[in-house]
Amino acid sequence: MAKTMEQTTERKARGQVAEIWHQFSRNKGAMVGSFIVLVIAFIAIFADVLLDYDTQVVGQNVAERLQWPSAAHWFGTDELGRDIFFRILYGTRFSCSVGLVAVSIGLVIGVTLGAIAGFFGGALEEVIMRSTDILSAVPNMLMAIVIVSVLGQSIWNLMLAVGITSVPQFVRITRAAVLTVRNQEYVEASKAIGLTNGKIIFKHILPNCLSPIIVQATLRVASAIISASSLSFLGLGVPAPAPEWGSLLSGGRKYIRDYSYMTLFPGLAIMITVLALNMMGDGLRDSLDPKLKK
Amino acid sequence: MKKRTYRMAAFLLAAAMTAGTLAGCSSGDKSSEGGQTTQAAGSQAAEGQAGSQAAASGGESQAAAGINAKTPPEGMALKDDIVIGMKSKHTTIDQMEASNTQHNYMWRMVLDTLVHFNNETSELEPQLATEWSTDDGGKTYIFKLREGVKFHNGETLKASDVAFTFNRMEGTTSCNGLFLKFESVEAVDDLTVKMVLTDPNLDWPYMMTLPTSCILNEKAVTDDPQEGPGVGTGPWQIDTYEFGNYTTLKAFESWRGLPNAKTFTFRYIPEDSARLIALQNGEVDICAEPATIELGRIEEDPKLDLIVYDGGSLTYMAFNTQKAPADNEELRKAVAYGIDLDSIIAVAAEGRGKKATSFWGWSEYGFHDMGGYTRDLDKAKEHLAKAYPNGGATLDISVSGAERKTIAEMMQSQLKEIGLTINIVELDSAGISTTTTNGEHQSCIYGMGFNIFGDDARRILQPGSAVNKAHYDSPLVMELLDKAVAETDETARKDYYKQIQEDVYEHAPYIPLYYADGFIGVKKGTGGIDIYPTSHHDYSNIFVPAN
Amino acid sequence: MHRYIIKRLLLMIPVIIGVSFLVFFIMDLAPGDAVDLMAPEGATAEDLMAIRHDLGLDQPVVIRYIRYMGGMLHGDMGISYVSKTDVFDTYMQKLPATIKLSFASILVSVLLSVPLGIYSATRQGTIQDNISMVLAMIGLSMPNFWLGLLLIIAFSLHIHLFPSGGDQTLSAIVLPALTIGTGLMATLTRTTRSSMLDVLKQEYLRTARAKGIPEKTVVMSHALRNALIPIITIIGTQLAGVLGGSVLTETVFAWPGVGRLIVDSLNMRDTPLVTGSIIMTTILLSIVLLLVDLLYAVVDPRIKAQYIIKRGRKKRG
Repeated sequence: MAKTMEQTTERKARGQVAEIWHQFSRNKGAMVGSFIVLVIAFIAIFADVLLDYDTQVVGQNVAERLQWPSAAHWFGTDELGRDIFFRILYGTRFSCSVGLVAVSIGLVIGVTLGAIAGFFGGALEEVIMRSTDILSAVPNMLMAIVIVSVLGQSIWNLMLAVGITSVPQFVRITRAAVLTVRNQEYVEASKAIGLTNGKIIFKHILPNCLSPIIVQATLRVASAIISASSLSFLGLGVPAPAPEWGSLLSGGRKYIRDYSYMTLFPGLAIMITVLALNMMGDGLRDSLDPKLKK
Repeated sequence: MKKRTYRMAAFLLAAAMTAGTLAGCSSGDKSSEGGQTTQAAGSQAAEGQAGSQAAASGGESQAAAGINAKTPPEGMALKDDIVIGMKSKHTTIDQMEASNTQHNYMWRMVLDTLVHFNNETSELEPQLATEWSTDDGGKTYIFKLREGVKFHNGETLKASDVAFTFNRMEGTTSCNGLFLKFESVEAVDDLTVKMVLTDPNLDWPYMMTLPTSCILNEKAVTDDPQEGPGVGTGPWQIDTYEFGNYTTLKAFESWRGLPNAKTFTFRYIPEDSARLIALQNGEVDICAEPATIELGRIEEDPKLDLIVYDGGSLTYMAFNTQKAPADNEELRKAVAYGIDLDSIIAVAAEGRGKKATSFWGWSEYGFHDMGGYTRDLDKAKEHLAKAYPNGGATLDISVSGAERKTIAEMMQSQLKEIGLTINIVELDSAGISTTTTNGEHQSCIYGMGFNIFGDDARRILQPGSAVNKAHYDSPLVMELLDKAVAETDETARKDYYKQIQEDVYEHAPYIPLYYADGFIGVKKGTGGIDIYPTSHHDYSNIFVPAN
Repeated sequence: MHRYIIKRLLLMIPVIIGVSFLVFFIMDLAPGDAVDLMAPEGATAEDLMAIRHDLGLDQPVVIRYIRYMGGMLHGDMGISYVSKTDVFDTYMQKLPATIKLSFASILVSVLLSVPLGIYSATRQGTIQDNISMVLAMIGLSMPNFWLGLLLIIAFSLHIHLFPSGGDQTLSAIVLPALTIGTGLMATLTRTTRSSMLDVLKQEYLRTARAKGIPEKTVVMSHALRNALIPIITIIGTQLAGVLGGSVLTETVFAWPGVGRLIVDSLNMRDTPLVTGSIIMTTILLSIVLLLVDLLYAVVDPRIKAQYIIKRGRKKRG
């Protein structure tokens, strides 16, 4: 039952980074994943250089509407004759930022609260966990409606809405993970040598809880992009005609039986992004995880 | 295309005939002032028949192909238990609490109105009332009731039930508006009802055909306020129901006769594609409101029929005339001449809609073809330049739903050509309904189904009405509406309505876009559905082949 | 332990008050109101006022909330604005369908994910590992309306194995459960894999292996038991999530569950029905999460010890 006592040796900062990089670069999956993530980031940043927004992204051509994928339109065209390939490429910048920012909001708030709840326990834990219950009882759509009505319609508010709704999951997972390590010997040892609680949480507890959090975070990106699509009808998100993967998906819903490519390609785009993030996340986890550094 | 043009023309003709019938009804006796006008329905034979042929032509061309026949062919084995897949759910069995398509289907089967509007002959016919009359130009009406009509609970219809029903409307969700038109309603004797209105209204008999005017049983409602409102005199009675899942009706031998099946179940299947698959699979016999994009699947399926009808529901654009920038008529006209309606219909309605040429229901009394606005970029730019000499014009369009979002996206692209920037504000259905009622929008794309009578236009033009999405406030239009509804001379009345349509065309608070075609997917050989342009069809006499 | 359970049950009271307060006031803030939506197309301002008065909506929100909570004290969750039916009855009518679907979905998810996660953990870094990961990810990357419809087309339209929707027949649950289950798969598979990896590398397993215990036994009995906590956490949160209703799946399969009830009533701004349904969901959710916490203690004795410590602390304080 006993877990091995972890090494708590402090390394010099530079040495640590080099060590992590060494671990990371040995992992093929992680490197492939990172490469794809870099390509996606490149597309997202330079989308307006790569594409002519007015003609290629939002330019309508009713004569060529609803065409199946062909040499002229790799991913086919939508109901207004716009090229879906270009729209997905351009949509990268919106969707990736929605996914990343929303998950970051959930991650930062959720992990902090979860760690505090798990570490301190007692009344504080109850307050945090029960507030989390309240939060997770409010449906995403209701949350989104409130944010729209209070803060207005914008992509930032979409990120906020999706981010807040992912907080409870991070809180619960982090707390559960902290529970399993907080009574281990090295934590007791840290307390004994008088380290501050903050230091103990961030330096000794969280690094040992990383794997479920990383898994959750990378997967959450996909659900964030998809839940963005289910909120687009509330006017949250980028206003039409700018493309965003979520709204491409929901736009294809009506045409799903006869023009399935309209949903297929945005779906694939989301899947590739999430897979790449996962591969990168796995590598990151492996190289950060102190247990695996033997 | 040819067929469609013909059908449209036929329907316009029908509308004109309706007008004739209506005028006949209200001024059958020329001494309209004070003279008694007794109208036993169904006496307008000559005019009515012409109307009937025109009106039914759409249905007849389909009926010739065996689609939606009126009665089952001799010897056809019929299905006992019919299921219809519905896009929307039932939320009540009380007719005064909801008056939308999905509920109206039920009211038309379970309940009866005093007067019936015959879609084929475009005539008023007796239903629970056998005759009706007004002797003061539409302020007081006397209705004589049919004898011996039985409710589902065994009670016999009495005038007191009618008075009870209309008095119960106060404060109800869907009938309070009707209630406010009454000064009083009372039972004169067992079979005579006297209604006194606050203002003369020659359209009143027509209002008595609407599902909101269905008659309830006093005893049933007093005994059981929850289930009682579901007790009616129609050929179907409510059996079991679970809101948001299904409602099952069972056959009842009413004064209208016995239905062609034993049970009729509404099943709530909100997803369009899944509802159509349920029809293809034989899990349902009728698919209400199939998605336009998937109609080909019904047409190609040898086991299915597609019923097509000219829909009476208008998709329009409304400008908020009380607020900048759309309070500027020149801007509104720039939009009117700047958009390409044909391509919008081709894309947003998949070509299954007819261009609207006037802000009026095509089947509504008094329709006048204004020709609509034709795209003219020079004219549009001229108007825009008058509104914005220095350029920089922007306009927000509020929309809800995929189809209307597509319309807005097309307008956005088309109006860019004249230098007008459009921002699309997407809202959910609740959001758009309230923001537009409160006048927080600049403009919006909306829809509305028109009833057959002319005064129905009042609700979209009257200041303060929730569906006056333009917040249009024209004293002239109001005056014309008031004159028209009390006018017994047909020519004068039509002229008032024409003037209203000219005013709206001139000031462009609304741009009428199109009337979308209506569709029902059914199992092959199904018939007996009485089609209403308002899409509130009557399924009372439906039959479905057994095999 | 008992005291802990009682305490948690009592803590549901402030949670319910918190939720009801939040939802009630949020509904008041949200644009759109029930009266405007229910009224017929021709309604005038007068009509709307009359209906508002009839529903008591002309009162300020605070008064309405106090009245609502007063009713709650007597076990009365109010009457739906739209259907005028009792909120509790309406919710309870939809609950069985949701519970059935939730457990079926979780079953699908667990049966697919846990073996797949273990399989890929034992083959870390291989092709098989990567393929399992992609498989698990498919359900997550496909919106439920899409996957659901594909399943209907394949298994209902073409091979007539299952009905396209509804809950009339027993087999109707298969397709929606598959749709939700595969959507949950990614998280559960990944969690299983990574927590198995954590455990597999620990020294006591090496000891076990060194002792000559077969690898299968090492993985299935020693490792899995220790990897269970994160897995249970995920299953618990997922169960809590699906009990709140799965709108998209319920829509596609015409499944009469609470997800659509809540969203439909939200769309109609039917405040009593929304608030009541969410309160009921909260109660369910709190119970499930409490059970999950108790399961931790069963699985990991160290955590049980913590509950006892906590009690000790309380006594001292």
